[in-house]
Amino acid sequence: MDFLIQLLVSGVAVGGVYALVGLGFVAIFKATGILNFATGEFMMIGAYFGYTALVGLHLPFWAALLVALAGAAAVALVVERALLRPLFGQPTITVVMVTLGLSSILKGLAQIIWTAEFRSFPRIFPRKPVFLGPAVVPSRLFYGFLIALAAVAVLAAFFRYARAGVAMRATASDQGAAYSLGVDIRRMFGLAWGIGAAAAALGGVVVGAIGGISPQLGALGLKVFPVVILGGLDSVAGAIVGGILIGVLENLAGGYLDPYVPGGSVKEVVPFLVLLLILLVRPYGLFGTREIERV
Amino acid sequence: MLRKGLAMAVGILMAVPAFGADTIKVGASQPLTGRFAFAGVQLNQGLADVFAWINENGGIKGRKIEYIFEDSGYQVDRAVAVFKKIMAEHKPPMFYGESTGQGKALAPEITKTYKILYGSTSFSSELANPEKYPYTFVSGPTYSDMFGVLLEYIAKNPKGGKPTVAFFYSDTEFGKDPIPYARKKAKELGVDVVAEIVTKVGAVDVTSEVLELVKKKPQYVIIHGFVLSPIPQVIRGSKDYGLDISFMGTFWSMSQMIIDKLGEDADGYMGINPYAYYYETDVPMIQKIRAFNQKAHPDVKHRPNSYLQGWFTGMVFAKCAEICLENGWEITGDNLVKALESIRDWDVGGLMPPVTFVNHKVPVGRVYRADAAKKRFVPVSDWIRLQ
Repeated sequence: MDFLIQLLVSGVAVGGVYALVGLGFVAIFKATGILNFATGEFMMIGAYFGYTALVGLHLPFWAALLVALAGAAAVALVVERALLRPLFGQPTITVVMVTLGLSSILKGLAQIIWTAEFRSFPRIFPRKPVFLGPAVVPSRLFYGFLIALAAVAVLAAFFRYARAGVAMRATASDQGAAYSLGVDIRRMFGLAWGIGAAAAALGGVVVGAIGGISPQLGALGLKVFPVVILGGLDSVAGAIVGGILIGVLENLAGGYLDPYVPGGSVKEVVPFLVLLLILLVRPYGLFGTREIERV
Repeated sequence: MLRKGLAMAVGILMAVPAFGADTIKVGASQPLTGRFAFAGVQLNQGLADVFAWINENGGIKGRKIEYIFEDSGYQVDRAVAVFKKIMAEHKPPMFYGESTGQGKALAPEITKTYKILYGSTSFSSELANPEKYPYTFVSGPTYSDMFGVLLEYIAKNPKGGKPTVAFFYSDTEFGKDPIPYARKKAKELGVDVVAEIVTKVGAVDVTSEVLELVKKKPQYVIIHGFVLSPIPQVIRGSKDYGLDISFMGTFWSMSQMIIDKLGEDADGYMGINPYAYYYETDVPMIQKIRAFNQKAHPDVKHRPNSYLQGWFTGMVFAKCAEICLENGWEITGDNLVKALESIRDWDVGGLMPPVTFVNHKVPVGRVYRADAAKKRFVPVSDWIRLQ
């Protein structure tokens, strides 16, 4: 029983971290309808900004976090202005290809600026694990989960109540109608990219604190993909539900199946099996809007 | 940092210096970008530096070494293209490849067409097989040999009762390479393999893997196929559960960054390194390497073991060319291989123990343990040579 509880609790905690990165996908898709395949790289760039602020500038953690979020958002704003705005009205696949190219460019830039060496964050969270009943949760996962919950709450409130959030939703729903009602669509697109990159950067700092950072850190973005598909590409709450479900499923597969499968790795396959099933049965995810274009 | 990065980029573009016709050429496809770049940049610098050092000291019997390299990005197709381009333009008799994948992809053509001496970043067991790959060598022990050395250490140092071990490896070619040999070797040595745990490189959460260790309680865990993540998470996770396990790593996970990342939790982490560390200042060759670095790269404070692998491999290329010249042999791939196979107890100034190639590899290594307070690895065994 303790074994099961441990797997469940830990799965929930890691799900929070996945959700953070997932929010990067959702924030941009929700407002612009663009699936940003460079989300993982924004996460990586954010982690490097945070690292530089902590280690290079010796800023306190909260200030370094702000630098990470602002830095990634600034890069995203530049990208949106320089690369994506000229593509208004182009087919979705064109935009998707640009985001794929962007991921390579960001990886290359990171290597030029910070080199290819692995880097370690100084300790951000306490070393002592958190005990929840019989379950032991590494402190980084525990605090990562709390940060994810807070970020989801802030974003959900923003989209629900803030004027800009409502305008962003209106833009995503019908650009023509939103424009005719006075919404500055270009500003909304920029804002969405900034928020999406900042959310991914937050995930980057947490993931970087767990395992260290390198220009390849963005590969986690692909892993988080099933999370956002499961939750629904345009659902903030879906990101956290999807994250938790994938985290728990992974852990259960790892705990109960991996020891019996030669070569293991069932844990790694499960999220993609879920992705496949979801795409077949409910391509818009658990909480997503039904009209989702397949790319 | 930006300046360093730009300098690297310029270095890549200006890879080919001007040399005379009488030079001995060494070609290389180096992973200067991509997933393996963290080591590739250092490997490349190690090779470039050892050749510069040899040239400064008169070259090989008066002939200078010309090092020709290009970035291959840790992509097999690109690496193969770089190899063919360099071979077509410069026809070097020696080449340094970027990966196991490149070595295997090119082996048939090297055997039939190019016939050159081929070394690489790889410690793959498969590439140290002169019957299958007659022109290929591994510049140290293979991953299988590394497991062999660690298992011999475990067999001699049981922690109460029969020694037990778990293998914890990545689901990659790199991770799985030594496992069949390791199972056999453990059986021969009477070490019980109580678990095999396979996981992904860079995993965020390793709870289920750690719980498997809680159930099986091995005395030792050999971790292989990773560079950094998730090694710190596994070690910390097992400490959180109060497990008394000695974790061990192979070459790529025995670098300084593991100690930096783990901090005080690094204490007791062990593993194998076939080369001396840059901070082992009592080793004559390390003294020479440090002196060269002080002059050529005054800003550099530390060199990781990938740099030393590059340096040693460069020494091997140079030694083989030297043997050819001493014997009046033309510097061709066949003669270079003959030279490599003739090397016996070659003194490399303590960078490794006296070197003898056995089946185109050097099956030797030493077990080191991390000392968190000193922030370095210290040897806990003598050099262990596999029979």
